[in-house]
Amino acid sequence: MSRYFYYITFINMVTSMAASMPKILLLHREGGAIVSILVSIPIGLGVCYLIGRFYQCFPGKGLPELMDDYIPKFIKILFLLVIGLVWFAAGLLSVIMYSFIIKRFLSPNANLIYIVSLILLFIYYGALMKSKNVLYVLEMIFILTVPLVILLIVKAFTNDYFEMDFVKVAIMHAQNFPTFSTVSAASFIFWGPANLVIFNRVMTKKQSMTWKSLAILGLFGTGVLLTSYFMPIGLLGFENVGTIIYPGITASDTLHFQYWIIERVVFVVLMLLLAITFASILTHWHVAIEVLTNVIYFKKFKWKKHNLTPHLFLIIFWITSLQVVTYLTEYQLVKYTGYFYNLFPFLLTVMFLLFWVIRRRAKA
Amino acid sequence: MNTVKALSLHEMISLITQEFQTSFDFVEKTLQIDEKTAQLLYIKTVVNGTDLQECVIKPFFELPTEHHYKAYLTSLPQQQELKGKEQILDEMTRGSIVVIVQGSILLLDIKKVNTDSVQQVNLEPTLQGPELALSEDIATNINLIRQRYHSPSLTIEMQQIGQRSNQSLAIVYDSQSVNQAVLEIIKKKIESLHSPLIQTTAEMQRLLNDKKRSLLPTSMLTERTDRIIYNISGGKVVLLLDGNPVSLIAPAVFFDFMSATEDNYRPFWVTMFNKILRYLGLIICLTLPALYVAISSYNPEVFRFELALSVSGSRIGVPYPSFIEVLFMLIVMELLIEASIRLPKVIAGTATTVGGLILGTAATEAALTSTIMIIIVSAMAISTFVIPINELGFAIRIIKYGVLLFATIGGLLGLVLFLLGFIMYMANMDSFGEPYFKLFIQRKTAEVKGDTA
Repeated sequence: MSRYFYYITFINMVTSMAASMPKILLLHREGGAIVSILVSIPIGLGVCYLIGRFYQCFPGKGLPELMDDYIPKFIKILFLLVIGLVWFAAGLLSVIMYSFIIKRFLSPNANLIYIVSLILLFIYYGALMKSKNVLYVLEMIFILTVPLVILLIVKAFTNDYFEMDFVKVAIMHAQNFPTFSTVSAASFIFWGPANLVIFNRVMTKKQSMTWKSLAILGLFGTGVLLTSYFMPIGLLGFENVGTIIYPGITASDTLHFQYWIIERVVFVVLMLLLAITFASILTHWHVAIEVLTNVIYFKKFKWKKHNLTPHLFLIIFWITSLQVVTYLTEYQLVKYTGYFYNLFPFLLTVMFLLFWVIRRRAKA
Repeated sequence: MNTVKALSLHEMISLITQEFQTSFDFVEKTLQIDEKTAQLLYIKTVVNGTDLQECVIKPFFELPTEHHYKAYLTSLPQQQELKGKEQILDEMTRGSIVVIVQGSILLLDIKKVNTDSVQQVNLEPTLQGPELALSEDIATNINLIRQRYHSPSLTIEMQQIGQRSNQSLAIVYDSQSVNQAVLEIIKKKIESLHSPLIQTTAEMQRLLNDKKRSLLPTSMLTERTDRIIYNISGGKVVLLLDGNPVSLIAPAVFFDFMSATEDNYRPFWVTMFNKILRYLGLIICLTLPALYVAISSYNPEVFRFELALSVSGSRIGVPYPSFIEVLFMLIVMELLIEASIRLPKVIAGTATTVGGLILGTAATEAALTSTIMIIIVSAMAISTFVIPINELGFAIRIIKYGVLLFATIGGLLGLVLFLLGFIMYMANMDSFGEPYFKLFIQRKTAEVKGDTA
């Protein structure tokens, strides 16, 4: 696969580490969390494989274009609207999540509306870029941050205060049966390739989904899942880790650099996380904007030759974010993110149904 | 030829005399001896006197007949093809001479060029590598390029730009390796230039840019012949404007501006070290002042305990918030840099000494800034100059204020967001159709075509 395919997927994975996924798993640490992780890896890889295989048959074409050709218009509009809203929600949850994190860890005195506006100011510019340029940004952010993230993860696992005993206690619960919500939370990290809905437009070269690409995805995904589950447990203890709101970040605050200018690892983590979350919001909202403008487009809504429809959507996104961020609490955020994760398997089922129809009609 | 023939000889002469009547340096001379006559029309300030004497006047008196003389003149390499009366007038202003013999017009190029001395490299000096740059004469410059790039595929296309000044512009590229799409865009853009007067390559660079207001350079100015050759062989297009010792290379992406020609001359690890140093300089220059503001005003706990204490300790007595302190020092430093560029060399020393005093201990003793601030400003100033190409350096100097602004209003969050925004801004740019901020990793040979240092 093209390297940009991996960036999209990996950015989604790393962002999930700081989102509600670990929290949901840790809440079920005495239930079926470990089995969920183990189950979600083959499921996730299967989804990646199917999505990759589907799009490789249609190089250079996004889902909207394909649906134009093979699917009734009514279904297309309905489905794209749903996709647009879901992708908007994905970005929205990340924005709110990160704003909460900033308020809790970096600047407790700042106003949430102010933080969200500051982030969205830059997202506004980014979401309007060309899809190709979004991928260049993703690549840059990935290369600048992910190696450091991996180093920090290594540092966490090799820390003297990382207690293997807690991990062993956690593993003792491995026989429990997983629930639907934990499996969908754990497998959410593999849903990154779904962004190809739009980004396949710029992947004009022939791609091939091989066992090698699957192996890379699987390796990375497994690492992300195991880290986000076992790292907090090992550093914070098994007993009460479920009561912590941001397990990953609180766990990173237990680490410190002995010889650096910066002493607390948490600040480095926050900044790296900002870049990665930013990339994730950028991809999600870019896809949302592209999909929505494909369905709803006001041709006459112009100002000096610029069509303002995407701006309209972004302003709506912005206002909604400001509304939601003042309304939600951290507890609710985790709850709603859980619902959001649960929604995805159904969405993907519908999507695969469409894929199946498109491929059948394309062959005929 | 036809247009000239259509115009009778007499009309042509009267047209030329009419056009140049008012010029003091226009000369109309008739050579006559025995049966032979010839008429010379030229502008004496632009023709080469020795050539005129040796190649045109002397043979006239030595050769037996007019017929011989005409045969001699037509066989001279300086003879130019006639395309029309406009061209004749235009060539005369460039230093051609019109000879009328046996009822036909001959145009000979015997121009005198005072600007063809090749200059020393002074904008992009290197330790190893060629020491001579370009000259101010286009023919000499093309000669310099040809002498360093011996390949028949080297193509030079001549054009004229500037509706009033009609300056010569050479488009130089290697027809085998050039990126055709880029070449088309560049040619199209040159055709659409409607400025009456284009004086320097830098001005042309600005006009070739699509956007009215741009910050980062999308094409590169260079005076180094080795850089020009390197880029031609890499498939880029080089533009040479007559009268300028600088050439323009297009397209140019961000990473081109971070490379020095010396990178190819040194051992791998030395180059690697230098590159890392340069990017480090870039990051320091962009973030250091902003980091100071963000950390000392928003999150002093980011630093390790001892450092946080010594930073705030050095700020004791400074009567205003950290961003004013930074802004104050930065502006003084910018003034100093700007002043020392414009000043004559004799006075520049004084300016830097006085400035050094202000930026140095005096400011701290007066409790206008903290000592750490002085170190930050000087570290930043030095690292600005590590960026090898000045155009990027200037842009970065401005962008740093954006980082500072966002660090002031948003702390560390604002700082990182602005840097991400800067990455997005660059990724969103393109240089003559080539992505500006794209990494080339996969399928390097295919992707890199037309994109080397």
